Amino acid sequence: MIALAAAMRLQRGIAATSNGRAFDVLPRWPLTAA
Amino acid sequence: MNIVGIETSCDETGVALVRASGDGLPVLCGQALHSQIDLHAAYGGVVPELASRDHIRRVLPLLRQVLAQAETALDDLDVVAYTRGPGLAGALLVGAGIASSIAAALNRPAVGVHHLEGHLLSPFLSADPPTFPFVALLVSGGHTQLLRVSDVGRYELLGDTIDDAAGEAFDKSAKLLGLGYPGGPALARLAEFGDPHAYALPRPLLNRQSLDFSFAGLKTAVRNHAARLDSTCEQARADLAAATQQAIVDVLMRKSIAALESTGLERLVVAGGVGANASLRERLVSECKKRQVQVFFRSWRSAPTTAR
Repeated sequence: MIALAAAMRLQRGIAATSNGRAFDVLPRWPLTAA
Repeated sequence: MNIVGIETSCDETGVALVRASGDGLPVLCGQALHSQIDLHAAYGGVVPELASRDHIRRVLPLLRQVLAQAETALDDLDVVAYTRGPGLAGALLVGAGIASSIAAALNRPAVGVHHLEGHLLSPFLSADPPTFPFVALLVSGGHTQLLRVSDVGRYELLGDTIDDAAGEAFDKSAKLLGLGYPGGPALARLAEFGDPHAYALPRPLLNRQSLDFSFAGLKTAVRNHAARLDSTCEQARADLAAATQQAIVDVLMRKSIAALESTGLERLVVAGGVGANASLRERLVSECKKRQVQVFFRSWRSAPTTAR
């Protein structure tokens, strides 16, 4: 549930918001690095 | 605060809207899902290019559906979240591109989210949510991990698969048994009619202290048995399916218990697609009850909507 995870991160001030409207994706991304 | 999430990491297009206020748990206000199973069934697995193209077709209609469910206007969105990874690169780019475009048009932030974190935190939408800290068993087609979860964003890896994921073992074993796609649920259905003790299958790494997993040897053993099966004997196929499921569930259950014992934690969260397996749920509930450990699975307050 992506919306939920974003909400909980925003509540804790740890959400990674996009910078200057650029975006990327990470096909391989360890959860411990999120 | 209204947060919409767009998920396009593999073969399902998902859109959901949650509402959050203060420190309270966010509330699910709308959700819609489109499965691409029919699209990929003819190929026996997910075709990345087809997946990407289908996500493009589905995201905006699903978003409109979710906004209507939540009685929320597009302008009332405060944040647009999307799956940043892991997943299929092209499929991820569809969700990221659309989410970032909507966010730019509304002049709102876009937030990239880890797909597994979405799985991991999904029990917080249930009527009886867990509290931190807990042990998480993440089991899907691409991942099999045990984690100590201290809070949102504080994850310590306790164990991981050194080769295949549990979901992959389910799917590939199902393919060896001539079952359709997606194989995991098909194997579980066939296993209901089989004897799990009819075949002796390996449980790799169970005798080691490590919390790591290995399923490649199991897959090879299933292949060897499947090659000797009488294709006309339905009972033999059901027996092999049951033995395969039991071997995978045994390993997942025993490693989860070992993780709980090593951390001293008393809560287990099971997340990911394989967490829907009924046999795994029954075994974990039974073993956790004996140890007075609470176990949590994904369960929404309302059933997900499936859009076709």
